[in-house]
Amino acid sequence: MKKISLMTLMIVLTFSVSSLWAQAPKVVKIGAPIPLGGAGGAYIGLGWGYNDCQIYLNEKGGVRGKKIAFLVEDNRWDVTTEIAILNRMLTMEPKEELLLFCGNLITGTLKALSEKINREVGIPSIALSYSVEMFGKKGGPGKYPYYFSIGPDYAQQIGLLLRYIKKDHKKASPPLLAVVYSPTEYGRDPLADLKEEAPRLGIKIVAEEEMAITASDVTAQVINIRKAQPDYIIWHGFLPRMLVAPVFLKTARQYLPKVPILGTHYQTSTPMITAGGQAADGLIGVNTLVQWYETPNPFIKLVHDQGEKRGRKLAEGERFDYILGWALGMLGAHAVDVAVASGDLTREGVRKALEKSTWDFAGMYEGRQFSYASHKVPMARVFKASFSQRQWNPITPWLNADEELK
Amino acid sequence: MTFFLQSFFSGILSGLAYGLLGLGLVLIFRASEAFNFAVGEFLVLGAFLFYIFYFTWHLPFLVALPLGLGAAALFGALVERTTIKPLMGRPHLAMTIVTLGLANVLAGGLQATAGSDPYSFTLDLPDLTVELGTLIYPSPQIWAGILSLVFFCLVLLFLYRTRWGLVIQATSESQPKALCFGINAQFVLLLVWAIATVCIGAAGVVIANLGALSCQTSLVGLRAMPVILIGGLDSIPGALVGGLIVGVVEALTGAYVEPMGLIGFKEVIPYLVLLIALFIRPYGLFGTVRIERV
Repeated sequence: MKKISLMTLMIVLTFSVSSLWAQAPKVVKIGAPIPLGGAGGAYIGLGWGYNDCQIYLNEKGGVRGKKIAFLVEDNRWDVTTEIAILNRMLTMEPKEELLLFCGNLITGTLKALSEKINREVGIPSIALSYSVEMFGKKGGPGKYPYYFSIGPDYAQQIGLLLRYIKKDHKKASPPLLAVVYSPTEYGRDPLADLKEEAPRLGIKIVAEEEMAITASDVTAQVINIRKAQPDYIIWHGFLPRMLVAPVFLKTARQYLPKVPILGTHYQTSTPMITAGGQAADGLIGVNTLVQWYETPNPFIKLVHDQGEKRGRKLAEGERFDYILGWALGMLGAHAVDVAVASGDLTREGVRKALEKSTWDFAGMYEGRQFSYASHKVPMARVFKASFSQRQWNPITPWLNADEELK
Repeated sequence: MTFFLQSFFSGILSGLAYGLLGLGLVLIFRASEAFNFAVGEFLVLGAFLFYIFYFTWHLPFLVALPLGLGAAALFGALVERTTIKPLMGRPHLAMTIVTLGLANVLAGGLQATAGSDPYSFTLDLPDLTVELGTLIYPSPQIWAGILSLVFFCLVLLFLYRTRWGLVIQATSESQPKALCFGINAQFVLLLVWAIATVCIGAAGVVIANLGALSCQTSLVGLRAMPVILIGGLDSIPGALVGGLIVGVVEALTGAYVEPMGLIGFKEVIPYLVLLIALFIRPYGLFGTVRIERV
């Protein structure tokens, strides 16, 4: 009897261990939709960023022995397409392998899939969106426990710009502000906060203009802005590869040559200088990451070294996206690393790892400390564009938006 | 009043560029009764060809423009030879459908070769900016109007003051009759496609100079549709009038209607005007009224 019991126990143990071993993923898959076409343009550099990050991690033997695979697919910067891609990945990929999404994740997609990702499926998703609704005061971890971002939300970015305006404005009268945005979820996202914050700082909004992302002529809108005689223009909701971005810059420079134009993260990118040409000179903006030419920065040094090792010949405009790919990829890998170390390599384990993270992207923030508990990296800098140098030069040190905007 | 004048004349200047774009389509329609749905891609291609000569090879404007548009003409002729000529004698609808396929092929090809980044596009032309009190008309807008008008007049001169122009007109009137008179209708069709591509390419250059050039600029091609349907599919003056109507209506809507909360209405209004125009005059303002006996 004793012998039979022992044998039964051994068989049960063998099955349990082998089934546990079978469940532990050998490969960690990260869903990574990126735009390779459509109205937003092609972000080839972003794809190369994931690709090279994946090679870099796997060459080192993976993350604690787990190979990393980025599932890169073209979302055409289209919400419907991206939703279809994410849904298909969730259905097709084994739950124990597909542990997080990490990619373009358009603001519209985050809004449409918020219930599914945060309540039904529960998969951590690190987005390139800085949506106020998802990451702002009314959103955040309480409402969207599985959404993460890599910079201050758009309202915080605009908050930093408004403070810049207040400091820069020398006239006795209050600063007059015109707001330009795209008619997308992304473009309209921080509007309510902007309208609330500007008057509080004594800034008067005198014009508000929407510009379609495919518009090739925005003269009428710029004439309307000119009529309102603003001291500053804030523009938001445009990607550098949208045709309207350089069209607006050029038209604004013709009609309002002396009015400073200030933008949020995606307006503050090197492709914007390439596309805008001379009209981009003197633009001001908030950017949440380090720039390609800041080579002493350890994170950028890693990206440069790896890019050179792979023989990556990136066009000027693609370098900004390449950094984004690396930043997202490395953060995802870091979360997997922490999850494996804590013995909980599941979606929930990765979420907890991200939430507790204080990782500074291999030294990107030059030793500055911050918390990721709010599900976003609160760090950003204000930059000014130089067309002759073809680059954005920081005019502030790294700012912790959570502290600056208290 | 100043605001009205500012918007109105801005609309006129944009409208002239739309008119030139419409002219390219009208020429094709008159010669082959086909609508070229690849107009947007022709526009981008023409502008890119010019871009190579002017911005990449740094040739002077007066050299780069004929070279760029000459290359565009060759492309138009090639398209006619490979896609339109084989369909001669078939229903005109077949040619129109071919241009739909062509639009997709060209769009993909352009994106693959030029990428999706916008190209900074500023012509180094004398500054003609007009400032009258609070009124301002920036130089690129004025150049858009001037260049469009010059091209329009050159095409008219060619059509109405040269032997080949007369031949094109005759063939456009009736291909069988032209053939009876010994006119090489096939070559005339090739010539028309080449000239039309030049018009569309020139419109592409002036439109890109207003902002930037990218594959997305092809969407401007959609503006050609209300332009020629309002003016009349087969009317050359109609293309100009249609262009001006669309340009002015767009500008005034942007200035007066959109600030009332109807944001984005500027993009819709040309089609609304088109709808109204078609209700009143189904063949457009200057189009030929066709009576078909059954």
